[in-house]
Amino acid sequence: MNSKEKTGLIFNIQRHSTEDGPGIRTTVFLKGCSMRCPWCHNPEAIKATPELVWYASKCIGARHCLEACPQGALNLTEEGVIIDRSLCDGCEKCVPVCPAGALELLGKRQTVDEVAKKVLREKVFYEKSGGGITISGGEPALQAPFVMALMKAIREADVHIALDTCAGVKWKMLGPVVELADLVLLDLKIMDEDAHLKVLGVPLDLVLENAKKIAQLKKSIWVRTPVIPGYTDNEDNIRKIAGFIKEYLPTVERYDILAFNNLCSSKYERLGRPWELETAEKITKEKMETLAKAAKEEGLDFVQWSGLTKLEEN
Amino acid sequence: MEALQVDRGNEKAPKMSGMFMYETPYLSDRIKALRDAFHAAKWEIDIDRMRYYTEAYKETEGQLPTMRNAKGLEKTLANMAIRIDDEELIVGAKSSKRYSAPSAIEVGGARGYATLALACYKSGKTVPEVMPDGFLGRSAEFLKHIHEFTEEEYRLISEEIFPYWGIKVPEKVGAMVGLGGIFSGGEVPPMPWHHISVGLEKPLKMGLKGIARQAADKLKELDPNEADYAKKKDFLEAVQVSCDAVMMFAGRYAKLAEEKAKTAAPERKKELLEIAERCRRVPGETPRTFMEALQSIYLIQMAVIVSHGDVVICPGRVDQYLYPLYKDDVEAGRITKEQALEAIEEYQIKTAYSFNGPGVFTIGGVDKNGEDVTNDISHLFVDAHRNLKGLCNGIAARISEKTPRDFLMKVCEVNRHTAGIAIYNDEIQIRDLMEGGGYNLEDARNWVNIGCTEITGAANNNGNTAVGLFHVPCLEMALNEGCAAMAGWKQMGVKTPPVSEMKTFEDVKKAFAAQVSHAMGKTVKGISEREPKVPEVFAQPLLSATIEGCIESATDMYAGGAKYNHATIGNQGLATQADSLTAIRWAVFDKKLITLEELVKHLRNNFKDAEEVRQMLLNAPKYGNDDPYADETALWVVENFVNELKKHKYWMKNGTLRGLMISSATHQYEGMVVGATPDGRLAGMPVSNGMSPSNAMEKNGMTAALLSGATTASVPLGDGSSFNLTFNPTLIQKDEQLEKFTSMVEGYLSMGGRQLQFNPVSKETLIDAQKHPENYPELQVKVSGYSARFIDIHKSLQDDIIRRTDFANC
Repeated sequence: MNSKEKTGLIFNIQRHSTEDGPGIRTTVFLKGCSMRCPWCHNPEAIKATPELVWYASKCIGARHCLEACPQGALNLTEEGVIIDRSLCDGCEKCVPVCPAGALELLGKRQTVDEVAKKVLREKVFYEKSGGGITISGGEPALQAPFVMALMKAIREADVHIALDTCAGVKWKMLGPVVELADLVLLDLKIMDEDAHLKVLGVPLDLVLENAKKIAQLKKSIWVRTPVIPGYTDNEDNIRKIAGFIKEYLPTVERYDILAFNNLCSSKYERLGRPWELETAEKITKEKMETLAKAAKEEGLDFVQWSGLTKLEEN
Repeated sequence: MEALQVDRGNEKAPKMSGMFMYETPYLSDRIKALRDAFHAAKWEIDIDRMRYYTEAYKETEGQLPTMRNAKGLEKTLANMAIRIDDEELIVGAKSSKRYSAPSAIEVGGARGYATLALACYKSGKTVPEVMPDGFLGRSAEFLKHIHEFTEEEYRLISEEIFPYWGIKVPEKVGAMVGLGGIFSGGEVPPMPWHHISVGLEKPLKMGLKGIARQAADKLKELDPNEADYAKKKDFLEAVQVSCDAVMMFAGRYAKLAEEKAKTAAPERKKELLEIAERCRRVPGETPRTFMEALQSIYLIQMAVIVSHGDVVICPGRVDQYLYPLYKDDVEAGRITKEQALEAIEEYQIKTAYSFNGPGVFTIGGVDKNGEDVTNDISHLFVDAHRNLKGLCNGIAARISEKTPRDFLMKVCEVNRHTAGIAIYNDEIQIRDLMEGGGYNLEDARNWVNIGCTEITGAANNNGNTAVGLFHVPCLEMALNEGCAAMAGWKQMGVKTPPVSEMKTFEDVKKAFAAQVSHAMGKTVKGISEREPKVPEVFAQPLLSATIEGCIESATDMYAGGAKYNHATIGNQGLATQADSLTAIRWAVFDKKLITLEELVKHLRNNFKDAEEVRQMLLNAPKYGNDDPYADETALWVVENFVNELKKHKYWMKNGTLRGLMISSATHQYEGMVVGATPDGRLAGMPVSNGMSPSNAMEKNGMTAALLSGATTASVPLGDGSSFNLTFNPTLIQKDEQLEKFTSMVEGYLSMGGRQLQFNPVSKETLIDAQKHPENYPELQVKVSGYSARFIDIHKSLQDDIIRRTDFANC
C-alpha cells in the first residue's frame, strides 16, 4: 500500500488550536487509548472503535434514523433518541438520512493524504505564528504506522509537528513516532506506583522509562499535568513530577499544570457513560499557585499554570 | 509657549508598559469628568442651524446655493450660544446643545426627527410612549429627551422655521405611522447622504487665511467670459465668507475664555488664557504647537458639520498630519507624551458627540512612496481609544506588510477592553482604489476611511453615496421569473426562464446574473437622475475648500470640482447569496435530493410544513468554513457584481462606480423585504452581514472563516468591505494568546483578506446566549486551558465565564 493511502481512525481534526503547543496549530485526534484516566477530557478518544452520538439540540424528530438502522439500535423516547450501544456497530447508515445532522459517528477512517490536505490548508497560520500540527488522541502511538506516514507527509511540507502522548505504550511503538516529532507534549500524572497502575491501568515505570528515552533522543518536551481533585492534586505528587523532570529530562522546555474543569461532561452524556467527576469542584486559584510554586522549588524555572479555577462566590 | 500643565488627577497612574502608555486603561480625573459628561449627555434636537440657515435663506432668495450656504454658516457661527466647560482645553461645538446634530433643513435633513419631536411636544408625550421600538435605527431610550423644547424654541420651529420650508406637524402623534407620516412635508429636495473625507492637513499647512487667499487669487485669474463664471465667482466668494466665519467663530471662543479667566482660580485662569491664545491664532493661521493643531482641526470639523449637517465627515490620517507638530513640541520640551495622550483623549471625547456614526480616524499604513509611516501619534490614538473604552469612536488601522508587529498586536489587544478598531489590508485597499476607483498610485497610497468601512483618497474626492443594490431579492427574482416578495410576487426584475427550464447550476447562475444586471442598470440610472440635481440646491464651499481640485477648478465638490469623483454601489449578504446558490448546486444538481421546482415552492411557502427540507438545506456546505465547494461560489458572486459595475459609467467627469460590500443595519432591512432563501433562511430574517459568513454557519473556527473571507481577494471592489469576527475577550487574555491572535490576523492579511473587524462580545451578550443558545452557535469563549463554543458548555461554567467578563461595549 502506498503510505499516503494508509488510514487512521480519527475522531476530530481541530483547526485553530491554540493550547496544544506553540503557535496556531491543527490538532488531529486519534481514537483509542492505552490509559483509563477517570478524568479523561476526551472520552470519545478512549475506545478504538467508532461511536455514534446524538445531539439533542439538533434533533427535529424526523425519525428517519430509526428506519435506517439495520440493527434496531435506535429508539425515540421522551428523552430523545436512545442508542443501544450493545447493538450499534457504527455502520453510519443513520447519519446521512438525518436532515438536521443530529447524529454523528465519532471515529472515521481517513487516509494520510486526506488528513494532510486538510491540515495543510492552515499552513499560512502556522508560518505566521510558529505553529504546526499536533497529533493527539487517545494515544497516537497505538496507530503508529498511520501516524508515521502522516508525519512524513507533513514533514515534506516543512510544517512543525508536535506529538501529544501519555507515553503508556511500549517503546517499540512509541519510539519511531517520537523520532519523527519536533516536540513531544508529555503527560505525567501520578507518581505513586500503585495508584498509577490502579487508576490509569498502566505501570508507572513504563511511562517514566519512555520519558527518559524521549529526552535521550534530544527531543524538546513540554510536560503537562492535569490537576484533578483527589487524584493528582496533592503537592507531593507535583513535587515528585518536578523532581523527576529536573533529574532525568533535560530537554523539557516547559511544565504546565492544568486545572481541572468539567467542560466535557456533556460528551460523557452523549456517549451514554456515567462520569464520576461530573460534579467535582474546581481547584482554587490559591491551590494552583501553591502547586506551581512547589514545582518551582524543585528547581524548575519554566512552570506555568492555567485553567479555570474556582471563583470566590460574589 | 510653556509646557501644557496637566493635572494627572488623584488616582495613581498604572505603570508604563512596553506596548502601551499604561499597563491597564487609565484616565486622569479631568478626562474622566469629560467622559462622564459625554455618557450623561442627552440627545436633543439642534435648533441653531435650522434657525439661522432659515433666516439666511430668507435673506438670500434667488442667489446661488454656494453663497446661501456660506451666509447660513456665517449667521449660525456668529449667533449660536457657545460655552467652555471647566475641564476643557480644546474648545468648540457644533450646536448650543451639548449633544445634538445640526441638520441641513434646506435639503430635508432636519425634518424627520424634528417633526417627531414637535409632535411629541404638542401631545405631551415622549418617544418611548409613542414609538417603543425607536425611530429610524435609534432606540426609544436614545430619543426620550427630544421633545424637551422651551416654549420659545417650540414657537421658533413651528411658527418661523417649518412654515418657510412647508413642513407640517401632525396634530396627533399617533397619526405619524411609518415614514410617510414623517416626510409628508411636501416635495423634499434630494439630500446628499454622505461619507466624506474633510481636508485638515491643508488648513494646518496654510491656515484658513491662506485658503481664503487661494480662493481670492483664483477669482482674479478667472476670465469673466468663461463658462459658468457666475457660479465659479460665487463659489470662490463663498469660500472666503466661510473661512472668515470660522475665524470669527474661533474669536468668539477666545473672547469667552478671556472673560472667564477674569474670575477663574489661578490654575484655570492660566489654562483659559492659553485657550484664548490658541483661538486667536487658529484656525486662521498655521498652528505652532500640537495643541494649536488639535484646536484648529477640531474647530474646522465642527464648522464643516454645521455647514453640511451631521453626516459622516472623517478627519482622515490624523497621525500623519499631527505628527510633525507633536515631534517639534516633544523635541522642544513643550509637551510630554502623557500630555499629548491626554489631549488626544479629550479630542476623541469631543468627536464622539456625533449622531450619524462618529468620524473614523485613519492611522498607520504607508506613505506615497510606499514606506511605513506608523508613528507615535498612531500609537497614542490607540492608547486613547483603549483608555476611553472606545466611546463608539471608530479607528481604521492600516496594516501593510511593513507595519511593525507591535502596532498590530496593540490594535488586537484593545479588544480586551473595547471594540471599535478595524483592520484594513493596506496593499489590497491601495490596489482596489487604483483598479476599481481610478486613483493614481500616490493618491491610492494615501487612502483614508470615511466612516463605516468606506475607503477613498484623502481629501481629494466627492465622498461616497453608497447606494445599496439588494442582491438577495435578485436571487429571488431569478427563481421566480423576475417576480419578488417585495413586489407582492409581481414582476419587478427582468423576465428570466422558469425554474422548470433550468437544467444545470449554470442556468441558475445565468438567471441571477441577468437579474443583477437589470437591477444595476436601474440603480445607476437612479443615481444619474438624482445626483445632478444636488448642486442646484446644495453646496459646501467650506468643505470643498479643503478638498483638492475644488478651488483649483472654482467648483463645489457636489458639482464635480474634486480631483476624483465616484459613486459606490453596495452589495451585502454575500454569504446568503453564496450559500443559497451553493445549496441549489448541492441539493438539486449534485446530490439530487430535491428538484428546483419543489425547492422554490417551499421558499414561496416559507418552508411551511417542510422543516426537514429546511434542515437539509441548512446542512449544505456553507461559506465561512474554508470549503472550496462553497467559497468558489462566493468568489463568483463578487466577480459578477464587479463585472456588472464596470459596464456602467458615473455621471461626473472622470467618474468611476465602485463596489462596496458592507452592512450597517441594512442587512436587516434587506432581510425584511425578501422571502425564504435556499440556504434555509426564513422569510424576513436578516440576510448575512457584509462579506461575513452567515451567523452560526461558520463551524470550523476562526482561521477557517478567515480563509474563506480571503477567497475573494482577487477581485478589486474599488471601495471597502466588512468581515466580522465575534469572540469573547477571554480568547486574548494572556499575552501568549494575544501573540497567536495577532499571527492569525497576519495570516489572514497575507492571504489577501481585505478587512477585519472584531466583535468582542459583552457580558450582556453572553447572558443572552445563555437564554437563547439557538442564536449563538458560533460564539467562542476561552476557558483558559480550553476554548469552546459557549453554548456547548454547562450552565455553571457559563456563569463562571459571564462573571469573568467585564467588558465595556458600545
